[in-house]
Order: sequence, then structure tokens, then C-alpha cells
Amino acid sequence: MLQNRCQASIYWRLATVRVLLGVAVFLIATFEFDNCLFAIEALDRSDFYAQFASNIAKALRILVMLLALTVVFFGTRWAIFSLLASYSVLSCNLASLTPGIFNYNTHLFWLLLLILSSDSACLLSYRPQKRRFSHIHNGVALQVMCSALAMIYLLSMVAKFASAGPEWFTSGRAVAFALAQANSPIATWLRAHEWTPRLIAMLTGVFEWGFPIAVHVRRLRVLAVVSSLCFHLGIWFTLGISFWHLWLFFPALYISPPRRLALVLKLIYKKRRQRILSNDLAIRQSYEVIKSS
Amino acid sequence: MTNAIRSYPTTWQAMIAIATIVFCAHLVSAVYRHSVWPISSYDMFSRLPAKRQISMRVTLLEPGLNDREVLPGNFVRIEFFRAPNFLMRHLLSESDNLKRQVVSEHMLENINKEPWDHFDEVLASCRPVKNGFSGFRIQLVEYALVNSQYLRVGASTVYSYAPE
Repeated sequence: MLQNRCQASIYWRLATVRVLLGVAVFLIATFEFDNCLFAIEALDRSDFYAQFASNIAKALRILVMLLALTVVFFGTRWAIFSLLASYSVLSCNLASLTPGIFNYNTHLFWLLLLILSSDSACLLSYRPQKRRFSHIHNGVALQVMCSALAMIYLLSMVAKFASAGPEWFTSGRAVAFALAQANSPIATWLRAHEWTPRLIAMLTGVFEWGFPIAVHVRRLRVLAVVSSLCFHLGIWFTLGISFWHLWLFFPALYISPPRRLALVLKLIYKKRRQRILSNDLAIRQSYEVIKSS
Repeated sequence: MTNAIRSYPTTWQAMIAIATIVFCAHLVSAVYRHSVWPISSYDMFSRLPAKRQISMRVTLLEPGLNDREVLPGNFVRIEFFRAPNFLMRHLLSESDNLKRQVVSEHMLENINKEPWDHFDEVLASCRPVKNGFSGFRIQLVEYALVNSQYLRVGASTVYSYAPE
């Protein structure tokens, strides 16, 4: 029974991550990918080439948006693969405008790749897909996703150490400079107090070390997720940077679906029960576990 | 029914191996603070600013109105942390004058005709009040550290575009 409960959790979490990933890519393609910039590299060649590049970008952008919605509602493999390919072209092109600079949303690429190589559409899909990989494979895919997102904070810490050493966390200068250029009321208040940049820098260090560890300890997982949300909301209200496409996945990845959520999902899936049950025995067992809980 | 499912006994091991290689690539990228898509260095805010630090600003010119100074992210529709590098690469470091003019015109046309809203790392564009912006200047603003605070101490124009 315990094994089935774990399996049920794995499939629900994979499906939730797939849905959230589709939503995130859809929003990013809608609001962040600029068609105009796609043609920048082509501007000095000819009007025709620039126009052609711009039209290709517009078409790709619409394709990404449609595929993202397909991934949300259906989650078929060809849709995930096509989304991965088209999103990569757009994202890579945008990154090529500023070579070497931080590519802030590449974790979506890696998540898409992991979702593609796991059974993420057995549940939460209009047409539930059949399972193709073993339970171990799907469990490992989910664990790799969890670790990959947690490691982002560790990498951020490494980058700070490589760049400035421990002084980054003790001097608070980087925080003070960021605050000097922000216009929010919180930033104005923080600027007025000399001790705040140093405190924020130290807390950042504690969080970036602590999160990757805490999130792998079962008892600390919820605390880690809550503290990460507080961390990002604090940055959002102070500097206007939300990083929503990162912490959006945390509850789904790190916290198993609670029983009340399972009841809601059961109601949603009432009509689709037969299709899910016809998939395979393991998914049926997983579904029954969620249903009975 | 379970027999019909294909079994891949080693796929999860391959996945862990690939994930380890990708993590090592990210680690190298973070140490050298250089991103190569899809490997990312995650070095946002990692640089320790000097006691006198320079920051880029864009001043937009609108006929009959006061000049407006904005962040590069309010001028280029790209993530705000990439915008200074974008302007540096395509305008300040570009030796071909014709190309600089074409890119400047392109940017100005974009901000006048297709203004955009704030979304996540992309800042909202600066909106023209009347007939649109006629030109812009890129300035390097100097900040100095005084009592744990960075205060603005000076500015110099490094590029200007104002067609007739």
C-alpha cells in the first residue's frame, strides 16, 4: 500500500508539473519573447531578411503558445517534444543577443526535457496517456527535477563566492547597490537604514545554503518551500523581480498532494474515470489510492 | 497488462548520469560566470560593486517636453539585466556607424509604436506623452558608496541618437 501511495504521489506530481510548465511557457511566450528583437541580428543584412526573420519569430511565438496549451490539456509526447524544440529556438535566439549573460529561464528547458522523458500525462490530461517507463524511472525523473531546482540556489551561491568571495555576504554592498536603483517603497525604507543591506546579504547566504539541504529532508521540506516563497516575494516587492517561473513549481515538486486536494481532483476526474482506469494496472492502483484517501 | 509495458531497466541510471554531467556544466558556468544556452551561470547580483560604481541609464527625448531618464530595461523590451549588455553590444561597442543607426531607429520605433507592460523581468516601456520620442541618449551614471549607501555623484553621455 505504501508503495502504491508513493506511486500515486509521483504521477500526480509529474502531471501537475507538466500543467504548470505549459502555463509558464505560455505566459513567457506571450509576454516576454519580443518579435522585434529576433530580427536585430538581421537588420544590417537586408530588409527582406530582417522581415523574414521577424515573420518566422512571430509564427514560432504563436506555435509555442499553442503547443504550451496542448501540453497543459493533453500532454502528448509529440506536443511536449515540439514545445521543447520551438521554445528552445526562441529562447536560444533571445539569449544570443547578449552572449554570456545569465539565461534566467533555462530551467524550463531542462524541466521540459525531464517531463518528456517521463510519464507525465497519465493523469490530469484530457486524453490520459499510457505509461511507458518504469515506476523507478518516473520516480527518479521527479527526484532529478526536485534536485535541479534546489541546486539553482547552490549555483547562485557558488557564483557569488567565485565573484566576490565571502565579502559578498558580509559587506552588503551588492544589496546596497541593487537597492540604490530600485524605486519601490520597501527599497526606499531599506535604503534609509544602514544595517539592512548587510542583514539581507547574510540572510541570502543562509537561504542559498539552507534551501538545497532542507528541501531534501522530509521534516524540513514544507519550511523550505515556505521560506523560499517568502524569499522570492521579498525580492519581488523590493526589486520588482518575481522569478515566478521558478517557485511556481515548488509546492507541486516538493509537497505531496494533500488529501483534500485529492478529493477535489477526484471530483474533477469523476467523468474521466473509465479512461484512466483503462490505462494500466499501476496507474489504476495509483488512482484508487488517491480516490480512497 | 503490465507485461505490455516496455521495461527500460537502465534509463533511470542514464538519467542520473546525464543530470550529473549537466550539473557539472552548470557548476563550471557558475564559477566562470559565463552562460552558454542552455547552461546558465545563475550569477544575478553576484558581482560585488566597487566603491565607485557605474550604471547605465537611457534618457529619452520628446519634443517640447522634459527629457526622461529611465533604466535600460524601460527602453529595450528584454529582461532588465540583459538590457545594458544589449545596448553595450549593439550600440556602444559596435564600430559600424550605419548599423548603430539602424538599430537605434529600430529601438525607437519599437518603443513608440509597440509600448509594452511590465511582466516579470521585463520592465514596462517608457510611454511617450504626445507624438512619440524623437531620440535618446545613453548615459553612464556614477554612484559612490557613502555610509553603506550608494549615492549618485555624476553622469556622462556616451551615445546619442537624435535624427532630424
